[in-house]
This record gives sequence, C-alpha cells and structure tokens, in this order.
Amino acid sequence: MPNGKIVTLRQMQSGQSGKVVQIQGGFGLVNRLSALGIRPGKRITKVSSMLMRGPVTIQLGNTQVALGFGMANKIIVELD
Amino acid sequence: MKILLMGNPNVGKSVVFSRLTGVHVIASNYPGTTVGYTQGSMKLGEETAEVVDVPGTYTLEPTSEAEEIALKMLNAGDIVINVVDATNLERNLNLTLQLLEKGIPVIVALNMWDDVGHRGIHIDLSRLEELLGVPIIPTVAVTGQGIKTLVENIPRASSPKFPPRSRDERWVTIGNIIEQVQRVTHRHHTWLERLEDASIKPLSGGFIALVVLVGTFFLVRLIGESLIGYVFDPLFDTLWTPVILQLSSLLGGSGLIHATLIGNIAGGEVAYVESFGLLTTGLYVPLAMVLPYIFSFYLMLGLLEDIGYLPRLAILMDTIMHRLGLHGYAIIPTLLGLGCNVPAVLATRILESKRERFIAATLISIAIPCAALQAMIFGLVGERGIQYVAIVYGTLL
Repeated sequence: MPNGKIVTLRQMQSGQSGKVVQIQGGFGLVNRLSALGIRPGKRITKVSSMLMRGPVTIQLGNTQVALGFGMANKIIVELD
Repeated sequence: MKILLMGNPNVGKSVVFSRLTGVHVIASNYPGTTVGYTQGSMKLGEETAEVVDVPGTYTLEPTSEAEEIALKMLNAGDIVINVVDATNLERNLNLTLQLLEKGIPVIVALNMWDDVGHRGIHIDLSRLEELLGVPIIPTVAVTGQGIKTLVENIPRASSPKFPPRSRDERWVTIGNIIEQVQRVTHRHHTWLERLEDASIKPLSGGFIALVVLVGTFFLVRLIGESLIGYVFDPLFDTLWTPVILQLSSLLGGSGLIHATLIGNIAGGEVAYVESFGLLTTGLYVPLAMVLPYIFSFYLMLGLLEDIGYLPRLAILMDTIMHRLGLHGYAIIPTLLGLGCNVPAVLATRILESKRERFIAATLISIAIPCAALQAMIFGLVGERGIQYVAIVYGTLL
C-alpha cells in the first residue's frame, strides 16, 4: 500500500520502490530523463547509491540506469 | 538507396551493421561506442544499398551531441532499420514511435531475441506488428540469426500514418502497446544478478572492483610471463641464438657492424637484454618482453568488456572522476590507455563535452603508462622488487 511518503530519489533507501511523481527540472532534464524512461507515473526501485554524492542506480523494468547525484535530487518519488 | 540503422545506445546496431555489410566495425558492450558514423554497402536484390550505422539515440528530440548527429542523418535516409532491444521494449519503442511519426519507412529488428526467453519476457510479435504497422523481425545479431529474414523484408518497410504526438501522449500509447504485447513472468534473482547489484553498491562494489582489478593485473602478468617463459624465451634460445652465434663468428666477433647488429656477447651465450645489438636486444625486447604483455592485456580487457563490467566500474569511479572534472565514464578510455594511448585518446570521443575530452586526453597522455611502457617498467624495475614498481606507479598517479 502506498503510504504516500514523498521523497527525492536521493533520500530513498536502497531496495525501496516507489512511483515517480514529479521531476523538478527544466525542459532539458525532463526530456532527457523521459528518453531514458524515467517519467511521472513510472515505478522504480533504487538499487544503490555511491558514497560522497556519487551516482544513484535505479531499476526500471528490465534495465538499470545510473543517474548523477544532481539528477537524483530532482526526481521526486512516492514511496510504496 | 540509403538505409539507416537507428536505435537506442547499446542495442547491437553495430553488430547488425557488420552482419549486413560484412564491414567489420568495433562493437563493444557499453553504450556510446559509435559516435561518428560508419558507412557500408550491401546487396539488396539487384541494387546496391548504402547502409549507415547511426550513433545510438534515445529520442529524436536531441539531448546530446550524438543524438544531434543522428537527427541530422535521419533527413538523408530512405529507409530506417530500427534496431530494438527486445528485453527493453518499452524504452526502445519511444524512438520507434518518433520514427514512425516522421513518416519515413521503417522496419524493426527486434534484437537480442535470445535473451527475451530466459528473462521471462513474452512478446506477441504478430500483435506488435499489427499495432505498429511495420514489419517486425526478431534477430540475434551476434549469432546472425534472423539477419537473412531482415534483409528479405527490407522492401516491406512501410510508413504507416502515425499522427505526431506530444511526449506524454506518446508514453501513453507505448504503455498501451506494452500492455497488449508483452507479458513478464516473475523470476527469481539469479546469483549473477545479485553479483551485478553488489558490484554497484559502495562497499561491496569497491571490494569487487579491487578484486577484479587486482585479479586482472595478476592474470595479465601471469599470462604475459608464461608466454615469455614458455614460448618466446625458448623460441629465442633454441632458434635464434644459433643464428646469432653463427653470424657473430662470420663477422669476426668485433667491429662496427658486429657492434651494431649483435653488440656485446660473451662466450657461447647471448644475453639478449644486455647485448644492445639490433638483432639481439632490438628484436628481443619488443617481441619477447613487450608483445606478450600487450597480448595478455587486451585479452583481459576484452573479457572485462564482454561481461559488461566496465559501465559498473564507471559508476563506482564517478565520484573520484568528478574531482578531476570528468564523469565516471572517462574510466573507460583511461583503462584503454593502459593498453595503448592512441586508441585511448580516440576513445575519449564517447565523452560528452569538449572540455571533458580535453581533460581526459591530457591525463591519458601524461599519466597513463601504455602496455609497452608498463612492460618496460616491469622489465627494468621488476626484478629489484615489487616496492620499486609501486614507486613508479605512485609517481604517475
């Protein structure tokens, strides 16, 4: 059951899943992420993140995508 | 006629291209290998068609340099073979739909078809063909399966009227299509997937990277040393030494020519490393000391590349590389530089901006010893102990 908790992708714990609700970025970022399949409504699972503002890896369907720290901070997720 | 090969990065366009044209292009297991484009030709019935391997792109709305190139090339093509990663249908269809909206004839090569089965994915081909209105050919480019059917079906490429959609509408359409054609059965994680996940977590990933890199290093050394010890040294000793000795006595054992060709040899033995003659040290060092290491280095690099470890290493290295003003991705050309600096600098093309390419190329040139250099470091310093080798590498870092 979704408990409605809204966090950024960066704040998610590894292994948590959720639904993307918003991308807080300009047209360029939204465009780039949607091309990678990351867009509002999409279910994602965080796989891991690196120490010291390193990249965040997420699972999207059958692929894994690694995103820079900055991008991860702009993706808003509603936790399951 | 001009045929364009288009698709997302890392779906196997370059392999399909090789299969279609017989032109060998470098295909690697990481995205962004093809940045410039490659052209070749193929027989299509009576005609000869031009085939272009377009850099991988996720969308026709250009977001990176490679994608801009792809878009420009699209306007010059007659037919598009859209190479699609069947295991990743949803993401790939975004580009397919955009191509269809452009009204250019499209045929879809559903690549990596062999992987679909054991990932528990079922795709209804005829339904997909119906929904998209273009021929869909399942292929396995690495083995060549389906390529013939693909070629036979090129004339069937069609451009159904797809109305231009906004981005959101497009994703809705894709969602509908996926719902109708794809079924994913749940499957337990294999140990390989667990390992893959572990390789990008900070702690276990760092550990795995260390194991992989140290392991690679020792394997390179093991293979190199074995080649030298069991192949090249015996070859030189049994085959070449008698020739040199013969030549030496023929030249009278001294004099300018003798010194140039053979150098100093003492008694009945040829000290290949210390004699400094063109035919002794001059042949021995490149062939028996450097070549084995180059061979074993590329063997191991090829292995790492094929199992897909390099992008994982890129994720791990990202933070460190950011300190240098680069993305983690730059680790790939850097590793290549350990083999030879020339392909490494060429490989900096995969980096996105001119600034990154400049930093990476400079660093590679001054701080990354190539395989030949490393073989020399080991040859010269190695016998005095591993700590001295460490000093040399420490200085470079």
